[in-house]
Amino acid sequence: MTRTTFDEQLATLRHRLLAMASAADNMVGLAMQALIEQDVELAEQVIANDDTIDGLDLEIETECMRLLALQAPVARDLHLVGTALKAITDLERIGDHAVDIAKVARKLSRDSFYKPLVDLPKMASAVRQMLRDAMTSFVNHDLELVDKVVSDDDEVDTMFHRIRDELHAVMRRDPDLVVQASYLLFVAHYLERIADHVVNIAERVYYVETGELAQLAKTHKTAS
Amino acid sequence: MAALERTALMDICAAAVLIVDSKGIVLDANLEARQLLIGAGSPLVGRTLLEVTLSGEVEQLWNTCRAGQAVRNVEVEGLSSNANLIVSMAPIGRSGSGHTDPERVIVVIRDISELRRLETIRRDFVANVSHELRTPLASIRAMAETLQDGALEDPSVARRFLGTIVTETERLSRIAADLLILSDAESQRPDKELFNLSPLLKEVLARSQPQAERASIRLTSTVADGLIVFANPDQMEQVVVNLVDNALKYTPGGGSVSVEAAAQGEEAVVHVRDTGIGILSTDLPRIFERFYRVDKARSRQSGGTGLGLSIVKHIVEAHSGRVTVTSEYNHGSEFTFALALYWDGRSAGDPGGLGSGMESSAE
Repeated sequence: MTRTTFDEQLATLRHRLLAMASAADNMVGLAMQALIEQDVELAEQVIANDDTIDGLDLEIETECMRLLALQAPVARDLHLVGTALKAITDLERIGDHAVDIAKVARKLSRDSFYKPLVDLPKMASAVRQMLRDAMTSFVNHDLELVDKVVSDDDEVDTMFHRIRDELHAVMRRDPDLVVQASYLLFVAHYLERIADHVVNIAERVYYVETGELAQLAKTHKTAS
Repeated sequence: MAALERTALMDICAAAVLIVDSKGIVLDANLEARQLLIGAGSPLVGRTLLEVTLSGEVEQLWNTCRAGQAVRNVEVEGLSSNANLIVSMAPIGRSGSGHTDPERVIVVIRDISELRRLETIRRDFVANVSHELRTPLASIRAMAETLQDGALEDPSVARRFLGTIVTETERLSRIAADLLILSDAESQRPDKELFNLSPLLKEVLARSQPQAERASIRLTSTVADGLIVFANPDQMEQVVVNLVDNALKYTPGGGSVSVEAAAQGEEAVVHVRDTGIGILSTDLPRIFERFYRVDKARSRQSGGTGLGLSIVKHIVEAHSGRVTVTSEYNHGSEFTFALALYWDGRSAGDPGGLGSGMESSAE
């Protein structure tokens, strides 16, 4: 097989990876919209959409394995294939968390919220911006943006802690709200996890560009 | 059309225009596209539509267009998660039968984020005004009704209720007054005169000293002399009062607030620093919005109207100055405003001599 077709295959791989990232990002957006607007139909749609992401996951993995077996890529090409293999797992998990959020949206569709949801949408918007920045850094080979993603994750963690404290206060104050507040706490947790997956992806972008496997985030904080 | 004219025509468009080939690769892009789409400045030509928009939705629309269906004004999310884009696409040339499989597709993308943002601000403003007015009104009404229902006979309760009614009425008056100040600042050009900002600053700080002492906050200042500006003194006083007042309100006891004013180049620059609770960077872009509150419960308790910073921003901008903020969450904030300086006390020039051009400095 000639180099040109191999290049084309790599270009296709990059393209599919981006398409999967965009689909995952879209799912998170729709799941949050379903939650905020208490739209059950939209929530169902997100839950059904998960198959698309899972499909892309399998497709890209198969493609990567084929490239590895038939082309034995080296250097940057190998980094790209390795990155794709890892990143699809993170993207697939992001899709799963979007489904989790959609399920909460379905559960809370008839509740009246204890206050208009402001902080969770804000947090979601910050998390999605991180994902877009990771994608942009991938497309533009921009390592500065990788740093931004990593530092933005700290801010998302701060937002998570703030939301968690507030929800705890709500639960202590009003036992009738325990169910609702605990579900909203889950949403905050899912968003925080999504941000961690985005950091993983950003680290892979760093790897494609430099060949160095760096643990860029000092600590991978999960909900604590 | 000659190539030069085509480029000029594309670049003059206020929308992003892309020409995409049958494989989805960008053949040509105009100036706006290079600004609106991925990584301002990086080349778009040769990349795929997905790469330059990062949007699977846009790619799907392109497929729709290639299948022969027109795409007219479809709203999609933009590159940043707060951006809203309106996308239209039209096929050019044809390689398949009928309208399917065009050789190229022309893609036009308009950024309507600013429009959406303004819409949201307007909607929030109306909702906020009614909410801000309703809260004190509801509590006044509840107190008055309880008094009517017999609490009037119990002097100690009655006195407490009347106290609350007065407090809430004061809050309503403050909101009404702030709304008036704000609408003045927004609608009228300020009446400007040449005056010395330094004594005004010192006076405001002296007046704030008791408030700072009550709250056990160290209020310090370094104010350079002779900061002559061309501005409205009452409005400038309002700006300083609001900033210092905010700094004191959001700084816990034991903390400090420092005010520094000096000539920097051609500007009088005033910094108000505090060691207070700080502001998250996600809130920072919004704190100058009317009624925007970072922590709603807390700031209402502290008696704020939620309008102080919008007033600051409008006044300073009406004076062609600028106001900025930096903050570190849990460590403190620094608000800075700068106005054109007309005489800084060092140059021996006659401030009046700088006359005629100044009027036009209002926007």
